[in-house]
Amino acid sequence: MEFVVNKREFVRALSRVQSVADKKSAMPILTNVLIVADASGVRLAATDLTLAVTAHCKADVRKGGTVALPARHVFDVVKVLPDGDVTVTVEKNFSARIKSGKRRFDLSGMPGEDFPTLPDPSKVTLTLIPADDVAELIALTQFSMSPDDTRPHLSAALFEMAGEVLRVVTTDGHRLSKAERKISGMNAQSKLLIPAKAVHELKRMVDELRAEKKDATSGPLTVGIGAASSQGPVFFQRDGMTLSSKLVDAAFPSYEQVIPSATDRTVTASRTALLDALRAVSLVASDRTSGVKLQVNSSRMLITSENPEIGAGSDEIDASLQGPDVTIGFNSKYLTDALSALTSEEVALELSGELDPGMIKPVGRDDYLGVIMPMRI
Amino acid sequence: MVSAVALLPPEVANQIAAGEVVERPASVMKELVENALDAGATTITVSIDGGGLARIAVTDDGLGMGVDDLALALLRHATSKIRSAEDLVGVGTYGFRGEALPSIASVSRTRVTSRARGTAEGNEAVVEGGATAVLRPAGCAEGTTVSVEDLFFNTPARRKFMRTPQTEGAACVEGLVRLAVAKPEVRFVVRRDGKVVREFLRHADVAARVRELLPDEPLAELRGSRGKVRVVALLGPPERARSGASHLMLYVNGRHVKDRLLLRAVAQAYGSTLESGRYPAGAVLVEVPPEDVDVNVHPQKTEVRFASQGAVFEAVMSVLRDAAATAPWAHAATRPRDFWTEHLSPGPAAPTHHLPDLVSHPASPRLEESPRLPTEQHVLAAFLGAAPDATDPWARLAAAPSPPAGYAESTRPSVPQMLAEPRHFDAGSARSELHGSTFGALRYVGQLRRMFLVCEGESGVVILDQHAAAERVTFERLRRSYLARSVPMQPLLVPERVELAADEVALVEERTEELLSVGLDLAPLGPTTVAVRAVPAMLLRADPRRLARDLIAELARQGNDFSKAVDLVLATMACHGSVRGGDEMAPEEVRALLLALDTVDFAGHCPHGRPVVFTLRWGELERKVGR
Repeated sequence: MEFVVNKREFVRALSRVQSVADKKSAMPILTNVLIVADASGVRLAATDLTLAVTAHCKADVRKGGTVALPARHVFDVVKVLPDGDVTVTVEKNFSARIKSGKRRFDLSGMPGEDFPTLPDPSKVTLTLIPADDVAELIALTQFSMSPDDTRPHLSAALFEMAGEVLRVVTTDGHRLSKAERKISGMNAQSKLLIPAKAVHELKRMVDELRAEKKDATSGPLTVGIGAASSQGPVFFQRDGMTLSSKLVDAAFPSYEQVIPSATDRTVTASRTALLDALRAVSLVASDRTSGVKLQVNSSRMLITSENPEIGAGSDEIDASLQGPDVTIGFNSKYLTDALSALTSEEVALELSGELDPGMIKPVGRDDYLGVIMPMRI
Repeated sequence: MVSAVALLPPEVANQIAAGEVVERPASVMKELVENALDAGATTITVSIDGGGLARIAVTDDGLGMGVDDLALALLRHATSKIRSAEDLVGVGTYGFRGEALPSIASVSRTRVTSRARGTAEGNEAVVEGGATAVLRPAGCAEGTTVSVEDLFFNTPARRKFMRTPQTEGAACVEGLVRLAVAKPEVRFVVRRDGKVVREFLRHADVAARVRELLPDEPLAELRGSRGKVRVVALLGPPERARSGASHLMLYVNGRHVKDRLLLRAVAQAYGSTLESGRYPAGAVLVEVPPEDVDVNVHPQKTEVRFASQGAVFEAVMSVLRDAAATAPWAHAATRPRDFWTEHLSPGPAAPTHHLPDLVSHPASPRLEESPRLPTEQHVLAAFLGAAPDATDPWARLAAAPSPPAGYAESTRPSVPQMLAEPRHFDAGSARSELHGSTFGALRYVGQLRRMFLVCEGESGVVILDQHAAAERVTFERLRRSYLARSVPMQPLLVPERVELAADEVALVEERTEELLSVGLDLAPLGPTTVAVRAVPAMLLRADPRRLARDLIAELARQGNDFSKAVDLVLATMACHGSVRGGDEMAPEEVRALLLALDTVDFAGHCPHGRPVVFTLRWGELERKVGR
């Protein structure tokens, strides 16, 4: 196997795949990145058996072939090569020589045939979604995925396509985020429960796509999304890169039941003022519970926190309240996560009793809704 | 002259026997159901009213009794099951002592209605408090119904020891579940206060019955035999193991037993996948030739003695270990670690590597710089930040610039609080572990096996168990918060269902208020299900189901004394909310932990009583290497 590739292109392709390679796997082959060279160029792939990614880069392939090289090392050495053309040659013993200018590395690899077969997207119908919408939906919901990997149904995001609406819902059992966008021209019906790591990789993919296409006008800023079947795998595709993931084989909570149908009170406040006050006051909240208390009357909101081990803090902001006065406790992180993901000028907190679920919504938009369980302080 | 020694009248003898056999309603239910099983019943209905204290009735469709048998059945040591002492070797039936029914009859109002199979008419015997039975013909279906009312009505001392009807009733249901496992071919119906609360259908196989009993548990079926010992087991995966053995049911020749030997065999078969003190949920059924086991050890027959303990242990352990290798969860454990197990765990936070390393930093205060100093005053100085003496290295410590990551502030008590709690400065037990030094003064060297923290102290090498130490600190924080009656509670968006044993659910009902006071909101949903509605805000990240299961198991073990139980509850919570063995700890975290330990009494032991710290003294070390 022998090919010549532009260093920048090669680094970009490697950076897209190497984060997925399983660094501590019991299967040594999974710590590698698969390199396949053929007439169409060079393909790179990595997988941890749940998630897989393939990236394509243009190359002058002189002799086709395949090899698996240690992901971390190949990325590190290619990065430090001088700019320009990189020549990669692989001998029969799977040793790869990677060379640019006078700098040269020999990395020992494994046969490419040992690499697991990756899911094939070619027969899957992909729905094209603007990258901006995907990025915003993830930003509005990713913080309420559970970090607890022993509860896979919560450590995931539900992607729901219903006609023209793409909806993403996440919950960690204490709060829930639901964001949706109308995708004109889309007509799909599916529910996909996507594991958190795939969500993070998808976010990386769309962020990179948006950053590199910001100045260029060429090429559509879209991501293709589709699943092989309701059992998965799910594919995310952009030009030159495909991400695939198993779906979570567990039931997502029936989230509609969790969303209160009506509340007694609506508090409206400036998003940034509330966020700023919460961040400040929670400095003296217990670092474990981050509990803050909100006391709202018709024109003011008093935010207090108290920690017997540290002290107390308080702040007051303008707010308007429809309904009777209320005092309610929250984990401040649950509020600040949602507030910092939102972009609207004002937010509305819709509350009932001090132990009933509260809702947070951007004022003037109906494409986001957060449900937060109050804290009994 | 009246003779001093007299033969006890039979009703007194029966009451004494009742003391051994009939402890509580659950034991009455067990005896009656065992009789029904011995009579060859295919359907057994158990009704429990008022926790079984008001009434327990067991109806079977077994052989039934004629009028002569019925009269005899209420006599002590009248049994159809053995004829001589030789028959005791190789007992194949549940009952054999012939003391159950008369004993029960002596402490209750008992009515036995029975019609022998193939006869036209039934009979009824009524006994009150062990008086002579009144017999009369009665209409009834084939089989036997024993109804026991007003249990212990004539033994008020015993009655006083009964717990609430809720608890006693739950214990009955729990007892029936244990009996039902070994008899899958029998249908059981359990009514409590008129309502059917459990029903177990007939199954061809014990596996189906156990699955019916534990619907939520992913049970693996393990079978095998070694020599004359045959083993069938249905066991859950190690990660769902419960604290204590209350969810692991053990059977020898179809008889439920509590046997430490078998528990050990199960634990050993699971090996290191099981944390100590935890056992999987499920059932293990062992068959040995009847002549190799003595069941006549205890009147309640929950203990057995094996002729060859070692052989039985070895057989059970090796069968389970070999079979477990094929269990679905065993595969899960050996599969290449996929994303669920690997990537989402918080893991060794990468950024910490870029933070200044306190250990190698020559500027950080070190113990070797400080001559041996009396402790109390200098700890105070360190906390108060008073630096009256510039030559004093302790003062330098106090005046040192704030360490990174803001850890010290969060663990250091405020000045007023510290003054209000002078006990923190006792040169007490914690200090004695360190031979007069403080934890904060230790120089952290490194982490071993992600389990031990090695520090250099004034008097020697100090080794801490990271989990036990973190647990100790969390415990203290929780207890302080509990005493202030302000355990913040975080409700769940969607309550989580947890399957518990019936007696544990009863415990939840009795203890709802106390559990709320420690921040756990549990609501019974059914006879064996509770909903977790809120968890202590401090333990947000713990799995609510596992938390609830562990807490209830600890409470059940602790019994009636809630104040003692509170400490246990807090200790359990501390355990869940703390760094565990296997977690990597950044040097900053270790420093924070050491400083926090200084604020804790008895820091030398974790709340469960295990030692936190071990000091290898310099002198000892020098002797070992011959210096």
